[in-house]
Amino acid sequence: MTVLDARPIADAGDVPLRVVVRRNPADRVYRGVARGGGVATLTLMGFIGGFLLLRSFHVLNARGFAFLTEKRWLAAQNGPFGIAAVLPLTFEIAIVAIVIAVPVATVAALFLTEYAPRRVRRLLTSLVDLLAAVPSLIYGLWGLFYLQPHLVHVSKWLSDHLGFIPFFHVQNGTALSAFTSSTFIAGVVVSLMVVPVCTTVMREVFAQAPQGEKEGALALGATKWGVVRTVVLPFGRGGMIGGTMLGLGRALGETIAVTFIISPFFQPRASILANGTHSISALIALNFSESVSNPTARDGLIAAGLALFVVTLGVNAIASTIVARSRSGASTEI
Amino acid sequence: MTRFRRTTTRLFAAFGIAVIGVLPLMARPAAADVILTGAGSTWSAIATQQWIADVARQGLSINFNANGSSAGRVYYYSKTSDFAISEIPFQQAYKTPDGETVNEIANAAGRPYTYLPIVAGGTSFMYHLDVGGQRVTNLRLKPLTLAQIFTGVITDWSDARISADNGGRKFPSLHITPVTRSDGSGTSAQFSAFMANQTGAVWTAFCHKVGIPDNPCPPTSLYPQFTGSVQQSGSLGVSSYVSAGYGQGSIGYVEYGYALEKGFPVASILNHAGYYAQPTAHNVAIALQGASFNADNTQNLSGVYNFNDSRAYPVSSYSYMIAPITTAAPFTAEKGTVLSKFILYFLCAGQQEAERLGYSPLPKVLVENGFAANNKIPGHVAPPAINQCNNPTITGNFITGAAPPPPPGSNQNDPPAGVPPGGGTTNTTIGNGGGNGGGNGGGNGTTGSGNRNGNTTTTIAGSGGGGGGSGNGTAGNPAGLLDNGGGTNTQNAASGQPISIHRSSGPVPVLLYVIAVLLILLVVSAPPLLAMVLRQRAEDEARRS
Repeated sequence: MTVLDARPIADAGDVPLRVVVRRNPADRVYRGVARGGGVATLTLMGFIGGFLLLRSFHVLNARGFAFLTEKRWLAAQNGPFGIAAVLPLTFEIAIVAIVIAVPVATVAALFLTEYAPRRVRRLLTSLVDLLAAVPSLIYGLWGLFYLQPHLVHVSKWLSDHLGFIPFFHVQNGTALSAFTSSTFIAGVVVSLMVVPVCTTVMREVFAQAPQGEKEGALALGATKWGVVRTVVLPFGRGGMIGGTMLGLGRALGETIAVTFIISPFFQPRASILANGTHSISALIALNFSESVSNPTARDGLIAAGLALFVVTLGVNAIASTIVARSRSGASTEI
Repeated sequence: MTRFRRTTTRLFAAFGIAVIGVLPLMARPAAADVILTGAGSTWSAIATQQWIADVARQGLSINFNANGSSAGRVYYYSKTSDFAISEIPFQQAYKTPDGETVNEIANAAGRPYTYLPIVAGGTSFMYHLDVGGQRVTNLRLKPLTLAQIFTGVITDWSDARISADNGGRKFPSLHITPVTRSDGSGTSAQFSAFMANQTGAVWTAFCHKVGIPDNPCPPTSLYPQFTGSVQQSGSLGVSSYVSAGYGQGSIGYVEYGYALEKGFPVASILNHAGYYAQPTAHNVAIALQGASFNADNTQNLSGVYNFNDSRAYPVSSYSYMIAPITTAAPFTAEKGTVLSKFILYFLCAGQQEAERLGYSPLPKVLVENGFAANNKIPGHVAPPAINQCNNPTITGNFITGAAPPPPPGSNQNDPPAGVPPGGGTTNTTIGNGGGNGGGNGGGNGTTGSGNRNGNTTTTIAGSGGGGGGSGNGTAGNPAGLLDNGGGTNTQNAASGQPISIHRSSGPVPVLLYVIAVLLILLVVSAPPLLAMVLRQRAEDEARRS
């Protein structure tokens, strides 16, 4: 029973009523576990970043801007080292991969959501997901021993016929060996790993295209392609961008396949067909075992890892923001 | 809800019982045996793992982690492993570019150690050079020429310095692609140690060019990248690159076994006695007889590189085991006994397997050094008398009898055996070539046996070396080259090596890889697909009924 207060109401002020919720123990445990899980993920991320920063701080401090402007990496040999070549080359490989993967993934996602019969759709969807489950080591071996001997001919053809474009220009491009271990070949292999990531994200977003608007377009006499063009694609634009960025994040960090294929090179350049490229993750994989006895070399690699961590985190953060926005259907409100 | 809770409780209980049941099983082996742990060199890992498997049958438990020489040394002084295997000894104090001082010797001072030889081998130089459709198999190189190729000084196969090493034979103009290791590697360390010792000026100039400041430049496990070179990870990466179709014009350094496996030729290197030698197990063991030791038992390979035997292969070396000589933690006398038994096995009987595994047996001088080191290990087992050591270089006639004499045409003053006439010249050149190769006639007479292509004699080819001077006109005369096709194989027959040249070796492994990938895909994809089909069928039936 509530006891009415005898004092005037004005005295109580505009204090909102405090709502006290009494939860049962099961509810409290569940909330605790859920909250703990969420906090643990963030904490773990923070610890990883903190560890990388802590370990690499003295190297970054000692080298200063030289770490960002030096192209060579001779840390284990007591020479200069920096990420001015490795970081751009990492992006070059990732961009080649994205340029190849995104059109393929877009078309695949459209086919899965709009064109494929229901039975085939389920089969193909799980096949695409399975592609993501193949270990990158397998892609690397396959790329090195099967794809590269064939792709060098494609590279040579591109260079011979489109060599006036700086991307396809190769100096001394007479022998096939000038086209091996290039950004292009590494990018093609990485694109195989990016396709399933992009396809999955895009497929989910395309599947959310509002049925009413699709039927409206059909009722106005649109063809299937017309529906895709006027409803599905505009609605899924955010998802496409998000999927692309997620794929980029994957491509930036790909290690073992790139390590197999590349021939280390320490000069950023436009030509993607020429022999020699590099990536931060490959740099760490190749140098780590012989750098552990030298603290500067070891922590230099960790500093390179920190750079990759920050870049990948940034890319993924942008991606998830875009994906989250597109889920609300914001991009259809033109 | 209650049912769910009951099920969960049961599951937890079952899990708990399982854990309690499994724990003693997991704990038992650790308590019963002495387990020795080692870490280090990937270069010697194949032999080390084989020997560990051999002694496991005698009840010795050894775990070896092939994580690289540097990591092996760090594991040793950070007390993570009992012993280490490394191509290079603990490094003396040096300053990193950031002013930090690294002193591995001081770091390891808490665990006194000794070095002892474990695995020997030669660094071979596998190359891919076709002239007019014929693969060159008798390339000869001086150490200086070799160093100049791998430091970017010589960049074309038609270079006069290469011709000079090959009896004047001029190769066609083709870019040389030196293939080096992109990952940290003992092979890089051993090759750069050879260059630093024998061609120090070239090596140091190279270091300065790529940005390594040291003077003189020390050997390195991470070979610097330079313009015109290609780097690949792993010996398999290097040998695959050189043997691939696009590897034309390339030369890479690998362990000899990788070149044999690909069926590709390796360069003969000039030794101190004035002969060009191949990196066979015999020739490496012969060269290693010249090994001497510094005061701390580290290797001094000058005597190996300069060993004065006509058969010695100069680019030979061995890797170390770093073994503790006190019982500082984590080592104990019981572990010392296990380690000592292992050492005595691999120094003697284990070396029987060295050649098969792609290495070379340790010669007597290194075995004796290993015995002396063994005696410093706490809890050691006494070594056998040296003549009881069942090592092929001691009880066998590996060095004295079985090692073939240098094949004809390997003396630096002779033209190389089996050189086809310079590309584009006709058969008549052969006759004219005698001028340079005249002194070699007698030697060539002995080589003809075992010629694969059925060509009868190599005398023609041998004297043809003199004709190499007649220019590098490219393959204008296929007939002439075909006639001399046998000549390219002759050198293999002469030096007794089973290098078989089958050029179609490429597609077979590739096909295997494709099949392997398909199989894996099948294994991964079959169960979910099957499940899906079954579910589909069940749904259809449900709908129908």
